[in-house]
Amino acid sequence: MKNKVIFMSFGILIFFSTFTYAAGRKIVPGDIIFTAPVKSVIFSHEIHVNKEHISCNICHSTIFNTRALNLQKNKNFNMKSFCKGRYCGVCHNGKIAFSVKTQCARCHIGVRGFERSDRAVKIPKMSSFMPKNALKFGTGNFEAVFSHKKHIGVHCNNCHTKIFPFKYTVGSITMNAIKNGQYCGKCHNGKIAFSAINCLICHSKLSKQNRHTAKH
Amino acid sequence: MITKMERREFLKLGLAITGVSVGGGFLSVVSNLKGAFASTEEYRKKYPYKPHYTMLIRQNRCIDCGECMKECVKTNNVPGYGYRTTILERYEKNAIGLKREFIPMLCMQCNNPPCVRACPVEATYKDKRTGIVRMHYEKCIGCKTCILACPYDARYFNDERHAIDKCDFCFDARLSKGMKLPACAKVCPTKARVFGDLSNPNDEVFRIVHQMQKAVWVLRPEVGTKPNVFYTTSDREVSDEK
Ligand code: HEC
Ligand code: HEC
Ligand code: HEC
Ligand code: HEC
Ligand code: HEC
Ligand code: HEC
Repeated sequence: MKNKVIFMSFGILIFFSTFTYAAGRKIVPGDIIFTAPVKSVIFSHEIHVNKEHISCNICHSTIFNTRALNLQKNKNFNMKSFCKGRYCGVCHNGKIAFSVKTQCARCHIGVRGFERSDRAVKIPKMSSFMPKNALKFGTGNFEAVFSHKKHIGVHCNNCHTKIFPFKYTVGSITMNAIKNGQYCGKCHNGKIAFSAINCLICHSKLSKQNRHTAKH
Repeated sequence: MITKMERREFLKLGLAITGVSVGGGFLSVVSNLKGAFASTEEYRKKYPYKPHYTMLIRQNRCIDCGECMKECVKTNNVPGYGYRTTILERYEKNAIGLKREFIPMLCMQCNNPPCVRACPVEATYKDKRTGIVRMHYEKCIGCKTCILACPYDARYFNDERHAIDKCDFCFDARLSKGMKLPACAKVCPTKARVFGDLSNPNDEVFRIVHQMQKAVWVLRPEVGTKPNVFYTTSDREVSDEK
């Protein structure tokens, strides 16, 4: 029963995202090639995101975290789990996508595939597929700006999707929550990164305005 | 259980073997639905092997994980420049959906082995008891005629032994020591390689080869080698096999 609900909501999300993402090609991480328990299995972001139009959040908020080859450390990352509808099996069940019980060599590229990939597949730099534009939260003087570029040293996995979804959602973050150690406050606490007391670094409009009034 | 009578009927029918011919190289395997016979009554009489060692390869199960090759190398001290078993890959760009196929290969232990006929010194021979094509390594003069004669590219020259080496279903390394399976069949994680006795009606291999619902084929039937390595497909769940 629980499974059914999950499948249903996936169906809807995929259907929906077909429209939202049909417009622009997304820049995505390169092919991920799993090597354990068996060598080797290919996962292509290009096909799942740009051909099948599945949005990042469908996979990364519930099924996978965002660090390559983390999954294969899990003991149950195997065919038995997939057949029971876990991991890749959430979709590869014969309903949403071809079943894991068929077409083995579509996912499994084997030892030969692995050897070829070493040379052929280029994994793009993390920085090349982060959103380029700064994301603005809030309006007016207390507008806060989040820039992926300024967080280049932080792996996506630290924020996505433990703290933030792969989707720009205005209005979900509040200052109180940040001060209580949520959202940006998970790091901007004076330990991992500068503390939330430094209002002006995030609220840069505020600083411009201050300068402006100071001149008068 | 299949009775003796039924079995005879089966054999009279001839076992439906859908042929796959290997045109040119192995990589261009083309399906041709020409009938061929696996082991007709005539052959059963001529080669009264007991057990009649056979391997059935469930080809769609092969994921080229390479475990069989690794284990074979370990078991039989196969050097890096040769192989007793290998996996061929075929990629069909225009196929719908699945475009890749892996084909495990080893010596076909032919009932009618061209290598044995080609050998000038009888260093390679058809074992009268098991049907395995084996080697007298000490007799081999390394002329490599058998390599040319083999339609399956299943032989190589072993520098250390100074003799031709080939798959013997692990007879020397395992079967003769009482173990039931060759190394490759033992380690295959998907049970793509089923090893058994074609003369035993209770054996899975016997049951699959002697039926007609599901295609069973041999490689290059047109060369008339009567292989003892059969190919088929399997729809059973992977996790059921364990
Ligand atoms: C169909 C599911 C799916 C979709 C859709 C998807 N991903 Fe992934 N992603 C994965 C899997 C699986 C991994 C590998 C995780 C692992 O190995 O532990 C991964 C890994 C990653 C990684 C880590 C890469 C690395 O080199 O460490 C990043 C970053 C990532 N995804 C970002 C995205 C972004 C951005 C999107 C949307 C444009 C997206 N993913 C869409 C399944 C998906
Ligand atoms: C959110 C759903 C979803 C998840 C999770 C998912 N896939 Fe897919 N995948 C799809 C869809 C949809 C297709 C295309 C459907 C089809 O052709 O049947 C596809 C296609 C593929 C293909 C075929 C690509 C080609 O060449 O045509 C491969 C390989 C694949 N997935 C591997 C994986 C692996 C490995 C995982 C787990 C790490 C995974 N997928 C997880 C939805 C998913
Ligand atoms: C949707 C993609 C997909 C398909 C289809 C698929 N697999 Fe897998 N398989 C995986 C992934 C992902 C892993 C785990 C990563 C690894 O082992 O490299 C895996 C692991 C395995 C393993 C080792 C772990 C275990 O469960 O024992 C075997 C064996 C295996 N697959 C066999 C098969 C066979 C046989 C088929 C066809 C019936 C098949 N797979 C079809 C994705 C797939
Ligand atoms: C320091 C935290 C952090 C890191 C690291 C991070 N992001 Fe983000 N990302 C965010 C925030 C915050 C948002 C907006 C979420 C919201 O609105 O709730 C976001 C949104 C996104 C979006 C959606 C953008 C949109 O327009 O909908 C994508 C895609 C994305 N990030 C990709 C990545 C990738 C790829 C990486 C790693 C290369 C990465 N992010 C690293 C914090 C981060
Ligand atoms: C996973 C931890 C993490 C999270 C979550 C995070 N940051 Fe950061 N942030 C960092 C680190 C690390 C730096 C760079 C080190 C430093 O300057 O202390 C940084 C730097 C910054 C900078 C300074 C850039 C400059 O000019 O040098 C700004 C502005 C910033 N973050 C805003 C935000 C905002 C807004 C959010 C929430 C939407 C956020 N960060 C969430 C870790 C994080
Ligand atoms: C790490 C970055 C960061 C720092 C430092 C920061 N803020 Fe914020 N602040 C934000 C974000 C993100 C929002 C949410 C914007 C929105 O969506 O309305 C926000 C919202 C606000 C708001 C709007 C209402 C609310 O409570 O959500 C106020 C007021 C505010 N901040 C005050 C401050 C003050 C005062 C300081 C210094 C003590 C400060 N902020 C430091 C990121 C920061």
